[in-house]
Amino acid sequence: MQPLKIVQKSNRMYNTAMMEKKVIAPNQKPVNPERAIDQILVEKSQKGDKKAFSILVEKYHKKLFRLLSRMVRDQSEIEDIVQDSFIKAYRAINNFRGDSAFYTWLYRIGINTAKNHLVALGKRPKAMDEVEIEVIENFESGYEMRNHDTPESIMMNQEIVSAVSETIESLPAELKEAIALREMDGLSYDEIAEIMQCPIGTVRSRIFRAREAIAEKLKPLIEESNNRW
Amino acid sequence: MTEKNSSLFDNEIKEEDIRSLISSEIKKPNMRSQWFYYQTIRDVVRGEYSGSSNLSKKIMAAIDEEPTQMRGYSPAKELVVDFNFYNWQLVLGFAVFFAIVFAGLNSKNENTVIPVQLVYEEMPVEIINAHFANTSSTANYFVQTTFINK
Repeated sequence: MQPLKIVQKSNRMYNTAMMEKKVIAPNQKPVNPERAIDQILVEKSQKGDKKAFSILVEKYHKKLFRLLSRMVRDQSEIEDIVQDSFIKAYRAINNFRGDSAFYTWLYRIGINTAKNHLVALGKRPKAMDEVEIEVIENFESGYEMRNHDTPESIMMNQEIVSAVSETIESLPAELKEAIALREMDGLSYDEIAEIMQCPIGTVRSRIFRAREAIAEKLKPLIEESNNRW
Repeated sequence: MTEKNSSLFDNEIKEEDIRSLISSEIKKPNMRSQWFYYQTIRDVVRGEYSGSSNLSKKIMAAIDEEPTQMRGYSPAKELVVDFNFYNWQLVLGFAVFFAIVFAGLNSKNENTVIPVQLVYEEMPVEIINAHFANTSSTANYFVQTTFINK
């Protein structure tokens, strides 16, 4: 599936320039907000908060699915392995001490679960070394989740894609630009604020309002889709 | 739905605010569904969307069946006592206390013998003799007769 064409690509040049401008002072340990957020969610899970774990599930289940689809081809098997991996991760959550990022730990569990699954089926698991795991962790494309690709599901997916696309097109220009810079170009709020020449709080608000408008359109479609499967 | 949750989804939160924000947002019932919609939007925009799956719901249904994990709930660990210097002092203190109490109770028991002797001394000799004549099988007989004969 092709990415939506929303904004002019000239922004990408600015993006590169912005990336190059980023300088980390010597001896300054950069804080990774994503890792910090995950660590707090893990700590809450360790204290018995299942809601916190559900956020981690929501955040990583698709990514784990994509990773495992490199090892296992059958979609329903992958779903089972993903589910088993999260259950194993939950059972072992008290052993996670934050030495690595949560997703690195989770992916290792996922890969081991997939290997055991393949061995149980009498198949030879594909060997993965540390470098390969790292590459896979960062990959964004590849085999994607499919709802068994029935004509109905394909049509439903197209409807969802169209709804998102049309809603974005109908947004006020400033919301449209903000959401595109964030989701397509992956820019930070600081970078978007600089491009759009507005305060960071405004960027925050614009991205939120754009998402809410799109989510409102999506809700009935997603609910209908979930009721079918 | 809140703007802060949207920023949290983007990891665009100041480090010092992360903990308090997660604590407050997680209490809201729609945080997870909000992330689901945001993720769907992101996937569609990036061309990675391939269908709405109930997988996360299935996973959470399975997790709900699991016993709740509680860090620190380890009975084996709770029984471990660290015997440092302070603990040894405490144990020694208790030992001394119990030794004193024990010695006190024992000395009291020894004193209880004295009134018996006093009663015995005040009684006429013929009554005592008559008593011991009838209780010749007791151990006291041999002890007491030795004492009387003296």
